[in-house]
Amino acid sequence: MTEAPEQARTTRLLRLYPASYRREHGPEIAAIHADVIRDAGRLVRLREAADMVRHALRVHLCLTSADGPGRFLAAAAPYVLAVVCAPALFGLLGNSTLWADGWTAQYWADGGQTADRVVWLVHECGTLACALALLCGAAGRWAPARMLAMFGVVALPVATWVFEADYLIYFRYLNRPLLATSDILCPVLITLILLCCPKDLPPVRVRDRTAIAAVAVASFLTHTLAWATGSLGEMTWATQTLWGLEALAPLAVLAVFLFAALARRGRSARFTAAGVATAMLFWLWHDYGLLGSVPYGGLLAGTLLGTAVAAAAVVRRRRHTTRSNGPAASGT
Amino acid sequence: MTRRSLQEPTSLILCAVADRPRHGYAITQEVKKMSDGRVTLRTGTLYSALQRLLEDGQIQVHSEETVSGRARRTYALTPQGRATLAAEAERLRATAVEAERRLAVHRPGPKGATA
Repeated sequence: MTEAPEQARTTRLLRLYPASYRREHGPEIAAIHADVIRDAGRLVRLREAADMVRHALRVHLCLTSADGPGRFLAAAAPYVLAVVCAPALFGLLGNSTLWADGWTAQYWADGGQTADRVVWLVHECGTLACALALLCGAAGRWAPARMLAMFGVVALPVATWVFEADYLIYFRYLNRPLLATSDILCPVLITLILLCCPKDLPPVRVRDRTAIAAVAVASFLTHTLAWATGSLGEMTWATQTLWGLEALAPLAVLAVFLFAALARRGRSARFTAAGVATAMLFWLWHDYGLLGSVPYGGLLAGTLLGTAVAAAAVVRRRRHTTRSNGPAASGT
Repeated sequence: MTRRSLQEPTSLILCAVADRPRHGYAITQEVKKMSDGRVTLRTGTLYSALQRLLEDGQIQVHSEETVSGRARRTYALTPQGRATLAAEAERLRATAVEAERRLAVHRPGPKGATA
């Protein structure tokens, strides 16, 4: 007697899947689902139902870990998280110096509008969330890393739109629709990449964690060195070189990972290469101003990318030559 | 044979079908048991992973039957999956050996003791 409502619920959930997929896989999914929820509590049943809804949506969007787009998102997510959150480590240092100088206390003591204070507070929390996301990502804790990064990326734009919409519309975006589109689209796309990464393919492998840590360290060190040198007030060739390094360091690290991915063979390596390239695009989108401040910045960035691609092509050709010569050599 | 490390859910699923073929629900139970309840694979997530591993040739459908009116498919490791899991086990073993070796090199003495 208790089977009927359960079966009806499972049938309703199965209806969420595309018809062709349901015909092919429906009975098996229903069987697994029925076994799992048998004797299970209400919370487990709800979680199972939520998971099936999510899975059905992923099947519709071709975003399961068995689909190419799903695998691409899994490959891109750690690199995107790294480039988006890496500046937050230096941001924390900058914020802490403001606290140390008493600037922040003065800002709060001076009064001012509540909206400004909320946006400031959200900015501080967002920076902290991004920095924590880096640490969690590098430690292989993908679930909190993803949530923290999404909060860090979305919180500030949302708070600014809620509390300072007038300023945005009349001073920042008036006659600049492209900038408005870019400012909205960038956090939305980043959130979608992090959110849609398949659950059974979390990017917690050594390579993913190394990428997050390497981009974070490179960004923090070069930002800090450039800032420390710049604050001395002397404009020397060393200062300019450090500013160039500051702008290009994350790209250089990504270029190494692009080379490694392109040099490898196989489907997984192709997804990784596409993921690194996507992260590079996000970095350019996010930090194009910084790159523009470096003399010949575009040329240097292009050279880095070109070198990575060319080096990978050489490695692959050599490997191919060795492999094709191998049997002949052993046969002689 | 791949030398790349596997994600935990993937290695746990391969491990669950390594000794004998298992159906979906049995795999979720084995994964839960092997991970001391830390990893729970829900229906959709498990099915995605099984589809991916089938496509990659790591597992294969061992048998299809109907039990109590329910379609039940059991999965088994392919030779490729067996090689992948063996490589993963070897990688983990090497890491464990190295960790033990390094821990043995530096054994802190009792508090306050001097050389």
